[in-house]
Amino acid sequence: MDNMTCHTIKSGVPKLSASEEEYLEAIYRRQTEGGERAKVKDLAKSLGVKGPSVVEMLMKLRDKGLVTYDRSGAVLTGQGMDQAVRVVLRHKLAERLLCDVFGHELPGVHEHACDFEHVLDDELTERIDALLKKPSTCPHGGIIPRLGGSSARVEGERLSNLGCGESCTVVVIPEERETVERLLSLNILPGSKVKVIEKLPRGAVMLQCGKTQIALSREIASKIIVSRGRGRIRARRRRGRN
Amino acid sequence: MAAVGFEPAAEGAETRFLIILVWHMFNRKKTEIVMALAGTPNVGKSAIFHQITGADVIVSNYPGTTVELLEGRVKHRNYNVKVIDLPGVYSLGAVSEDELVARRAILEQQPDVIVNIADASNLERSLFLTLQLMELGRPMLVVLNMYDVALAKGTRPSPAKLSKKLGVPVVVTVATRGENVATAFDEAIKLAERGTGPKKVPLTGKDTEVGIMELAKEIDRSLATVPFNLSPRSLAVKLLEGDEHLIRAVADLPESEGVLKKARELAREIAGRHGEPSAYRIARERHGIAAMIAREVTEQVSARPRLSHRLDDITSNVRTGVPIMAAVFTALILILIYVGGFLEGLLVGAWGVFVSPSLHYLFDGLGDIGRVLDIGINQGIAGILAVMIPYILVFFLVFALLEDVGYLPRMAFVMDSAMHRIGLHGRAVVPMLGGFGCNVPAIMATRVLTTRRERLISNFLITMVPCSARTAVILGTVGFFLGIQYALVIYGIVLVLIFLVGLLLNRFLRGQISGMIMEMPPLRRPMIKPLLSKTWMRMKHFVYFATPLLIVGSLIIGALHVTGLLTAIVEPLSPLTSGWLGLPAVTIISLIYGFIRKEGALVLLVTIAGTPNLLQFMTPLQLFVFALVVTIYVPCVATIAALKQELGWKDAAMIGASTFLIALLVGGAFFHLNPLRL
Repeated sequence: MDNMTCHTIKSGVPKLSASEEEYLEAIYRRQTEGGERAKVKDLAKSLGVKGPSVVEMLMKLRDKGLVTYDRSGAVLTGQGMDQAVRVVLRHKLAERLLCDVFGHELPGVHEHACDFEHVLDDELTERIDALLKKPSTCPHGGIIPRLGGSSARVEGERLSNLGCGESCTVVVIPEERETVERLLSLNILPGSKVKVIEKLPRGAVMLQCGKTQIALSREIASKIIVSRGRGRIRARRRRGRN
Repeated sequence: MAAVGFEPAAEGAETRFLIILVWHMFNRKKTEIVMALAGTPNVGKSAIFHQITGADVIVSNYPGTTVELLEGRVKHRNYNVKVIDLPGVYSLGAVSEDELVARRAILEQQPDVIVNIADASNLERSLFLTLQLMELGRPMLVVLNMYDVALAKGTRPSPAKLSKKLGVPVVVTVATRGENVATAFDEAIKLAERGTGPKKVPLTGKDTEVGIMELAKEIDRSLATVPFNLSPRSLAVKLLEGDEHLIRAVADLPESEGVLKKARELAREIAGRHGEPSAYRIARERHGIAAMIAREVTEQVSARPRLSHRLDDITSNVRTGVPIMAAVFTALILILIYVGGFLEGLLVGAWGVFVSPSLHYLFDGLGDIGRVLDIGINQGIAGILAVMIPYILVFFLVFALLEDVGYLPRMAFVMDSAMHRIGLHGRAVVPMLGGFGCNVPAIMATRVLTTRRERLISNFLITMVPCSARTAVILGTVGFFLGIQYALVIYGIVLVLIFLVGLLLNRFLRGQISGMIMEMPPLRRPMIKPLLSKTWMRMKHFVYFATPLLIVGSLIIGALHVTGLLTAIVEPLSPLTSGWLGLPAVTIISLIYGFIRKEGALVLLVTIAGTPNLLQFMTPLQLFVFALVVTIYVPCVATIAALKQELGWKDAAMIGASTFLIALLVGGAFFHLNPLRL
């Protein structure tokens, strides 16, 4: 433990608590995925805490100069963004490490990585990054952000935004264990081709995947990022490897 | 055995005993065959199961789970065949409880032959499981079922080509019409006799395969025994997939460190080469092989347009789906009211004319005991006839029909967004609809929901769903004596209450809603025999379990009545019954008994009233309030026990108390305000 504190002091970055990091991560996700301000209500929901504790924490982060915060929600400052990128990088690298090196199965890797990310420091993170040969995506298909790198925004469309009859290729799938388990068994993974065959207004989506029909809640469909048309993404990733 | 008391003098007896033992074992092996039916959901597995086994079926929960396992026994030539119907699963992973049970049953019971039922109309999907089953190395038969559906869809898989590709025998069947099922069974028995597994297993991609073989060799070298008699190769695949269950099993073995280390190394290597985790890679390759084989063995023919396709579309489209759903529900209730009401009139009438007078005459000569028997048996059976057959049986039949047609998942799709309002999602729809039959299995079925919050909400709401017993009370009182519109009002009130409670729970419970991910099976024509057998299995519980309980309850009421003890219980609680709810004070007996069996409330009401014509005993308003209160107040004992098992005492008690208060509130309000002007 002492040893680790040493490293962080050396790298000149203030040490944040695990829950502060979780908040930064959550705000970062809102900002990059939806391009929106993170509202107190949404943060409370996604972190499973009460509204007042969110407000309290946002004040704390504001005092540290990591976010700006008003009634419409929170936005990361430049420094906050750097910190958040560090956390997300550690999280996604941890996922890759668990999956690729330790053979962890895909469902549940996100949850394990959540614990893992807080014990990694910058130096160790860099070594893992090198060991994994600087991967560009996490096991769920999301782009791994890097300091000074380009935006982590995945190019593509939310599956819930597609219309009836449109075909697409899955790029990113959600991360929660149960969701991944179900998607895995139905073969909806990054690279799978699916077609929207039925969509209820503000409601569920029905997909044709091979010869199977699968119904998804709107919430799940909005967390699946797809690219319209053929499997461009996967082909590109393959080439990147070779 | 040999070490204890072994003396030369006893050698003869010992040898004889050994010979008998060996003969016995040999004989057992020769005549007992264990056959496991495995397949994805909705491939007609249970249709085949019922045709093979006939009526002799045992349903049991797999030890420690809520997953039901059907087991049937058949005599075939001179074999005793035990047929196990595994839960329908997409893969042999350790993800859902169903999958866990399927794989445990296969690994632990070590069937002599696996019959893998595949969907000929969606071969690619089925082959994913087929490939996993083949890796187990047991004798195996692939049954291409739903061949008619495949032809109608315009694909014709060739059994000969598939057999050649897979290296296992393939039989084509149409189970819905019973075509070829006997041949398939015969073939499976022959395979069990021969005892040879698949000749080869289709290989994965070259480098993955090299990794698998390397690990298999390591397993062969260092492990003395392989868990569950798996082949080294299949264990190797499972370890590379990161299968926790088997990793644990291997870790328990001596000298297993090397194997696990090797597995990690190879997994890393595969992951490094493909840029994705090895579990993921193997699954992808297996999907790939399944797709390739399916493509190669299938020939496209011209498709006939099918009615069921059009039905699939209109039941899941929002413009037509919602009205259809409403129509299905209305039809269900109307069938219950008219068919059930008709049957009730018929049965009670017949009992009253043909049996009741002679029983009455018989008991009359026995003094006080006779009076007890008259109330207990004569009235008790009249009450049972009024409830059990007309309403519960009819409900189970119609519900099994909806299930077998495959309509319920469509409802889940249509209702998903509405369910989000009450903190649930589409997956909760099927258990909640099941609650209309009986709350207990419905509560157990909520295990498909992933979060505790969802389970708490759905369990609470299910206890408020009028089960078939409560439907019997509603229809047997209000529906029968006051008219259908009043019965529908009660349903309306209950549905509104369910929605309100759902809104409140969603508002105040912490946590978030996950979401529905569900396969939609195509609609299909139901088969009569499995449908009837399913209905009978559900009905059996009511008949065998509830009937004696209800008659004993009626006898106790009779005894209390005759001895005058009834008033001792009735009086202290009369402020509640007659004061607040406006019911005759004696109905408290019926209400208390309703806690044990909900339909018992009606049966005992008939007993207390002393006549099946309840209007002679209660006013229309009293009947209405009675039905309303019985519908909502406290779930029955069995339901509470199920709640306790799923959620613990605290939540079970909370739910029981809440429903009791809601019932008092709503019932009292109706009596005092009488908004329907009854």
